[in-house]
Amino acid sequence: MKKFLLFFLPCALLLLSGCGALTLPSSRQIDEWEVADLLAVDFDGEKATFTTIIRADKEEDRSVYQGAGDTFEQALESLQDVCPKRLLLEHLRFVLFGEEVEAQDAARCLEALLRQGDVRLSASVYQTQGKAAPYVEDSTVETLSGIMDEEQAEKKQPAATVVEVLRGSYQGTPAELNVVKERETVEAP
Amino acid sequence: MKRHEFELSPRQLAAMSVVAALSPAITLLPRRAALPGGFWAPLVTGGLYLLLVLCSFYTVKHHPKDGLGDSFCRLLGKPLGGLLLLGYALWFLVLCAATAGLAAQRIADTAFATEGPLLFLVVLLGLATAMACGRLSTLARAAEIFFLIMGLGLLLLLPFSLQGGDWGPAFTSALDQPGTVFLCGLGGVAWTAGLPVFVFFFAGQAAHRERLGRDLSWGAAILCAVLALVALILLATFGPNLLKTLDNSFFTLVKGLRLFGALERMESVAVSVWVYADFLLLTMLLHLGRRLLAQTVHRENRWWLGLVCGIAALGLALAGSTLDLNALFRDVLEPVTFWLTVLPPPLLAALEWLRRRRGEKV
Repeated sequence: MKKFLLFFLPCALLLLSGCGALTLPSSRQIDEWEVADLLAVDFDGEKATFTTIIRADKEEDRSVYQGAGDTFEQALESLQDVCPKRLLLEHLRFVLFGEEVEAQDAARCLEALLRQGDVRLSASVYQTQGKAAPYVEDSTVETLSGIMDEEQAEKKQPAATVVEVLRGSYQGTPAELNVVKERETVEAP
Repeated sequence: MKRHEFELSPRQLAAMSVVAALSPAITLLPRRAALPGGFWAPLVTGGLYLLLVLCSFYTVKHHPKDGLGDSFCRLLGKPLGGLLLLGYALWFLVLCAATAGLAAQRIADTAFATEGPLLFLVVLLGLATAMACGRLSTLARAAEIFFLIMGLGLLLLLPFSLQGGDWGPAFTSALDQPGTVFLCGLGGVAWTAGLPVFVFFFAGQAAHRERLGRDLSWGAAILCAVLALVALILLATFGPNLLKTLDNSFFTLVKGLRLFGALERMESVAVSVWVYADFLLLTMLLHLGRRLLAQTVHRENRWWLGLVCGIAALGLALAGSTLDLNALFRDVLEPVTFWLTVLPPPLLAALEWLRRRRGEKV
């Protein structure tokens, strides 16, 4: 009996760390999450706008959400409020910054995301020509991914990652972001 | 003395010291070593800790049934030795409470961002207390298994962490500030690399004592090498300025890892592996508290003393749950633990040497 309890109790306690809805108050199943693939950030110095594509198997199922605020943190919160399910940004593949977003603001934005545990260090960071939101609203991740790969091939330099942008910002040597072509080009087949 | 009381092997004690030290090191070291060349910190202080291990070994090696605690009473006299042991016992309970808080906070921050640390704190200390009421030899055997698991975990994670780092500055700035690096190493490694010294409190139960000094020295060397490698990878990835501002930089790093595009979210693996280190350290501190309390009050080391220590540590952890643990470690716990680690071994070794030289029967 004693041995059984010694085995059973730690096992039961270990289950506390699982995803079951009964154990941790805010635990969620996978269908209660919206997994974001791409995030576009526009910031004109006064207002930040976050636009994101949610991952979906089919093109028609994809959804786009937008949140805005005076700061990056507020915009992120607003984006979370707009989304009907819990938004998961940890699987982001790309972060696009609009043309008007300056290097230090881009770094500040990525740091805000990092401190919330919302972004992976290896996500690629790009700058767009003009605003970033339209790229997200009218394109799929696959299209954008193709365009970005072409850009990369032309420039022969890989896109900067989140950690490179942040490290460069802290060391006073901002990373150079690859620029994605204009929106018209993105829409072309 | 019962048979099982001599069941600890030097290798088990070495494994215990390495695994237990990795628990706080992964949270505390990166911030302390966040300066150019900071990865040298564990290496330059490694020599000091090897010296401390050898001093501790010299103190106990001629007295087969003695641990470091017995040496305190033997060499300093029972009143002063007992007082010091009581102080150590209480300090271990404080360390246990603070470390449990740090570990619970880390688990909550890295894997369950929407949860508070309270549940993890209670579960961690509850399990550690249950284990601390049992035999030390069980913990020692568990330490060997945990050592293998953590070794495999690190072997899996570290090679994939090498990509994306800026290695040039990490190496070229290595010897810019050797003095600062040494001092930061003392601060950063004091608490963690001091554990091989604390393990000597269990030396009275060790078999094959002639290997104790050698095995624990190897343990300290492995620990310093692993910490230096982790610090180097973190410095190359984040750079010193960014690293200084991150709370759980190692877990932030592994969060971005992808294994061949097939496995992602590696921080969950890292967190689950590190739970072994947390559990082992907390249990070890409770065992230390239990043993030293028993020695102080001259009573048999009974199981309920482990329960008393566990409840006391839980009470302390809950009472201090609102404190800034990083600041507490930096300003209070690390400096005090540093002196508690650094002062006694040479002092006791010197006293032992003097007595042996005079031919006193000790």
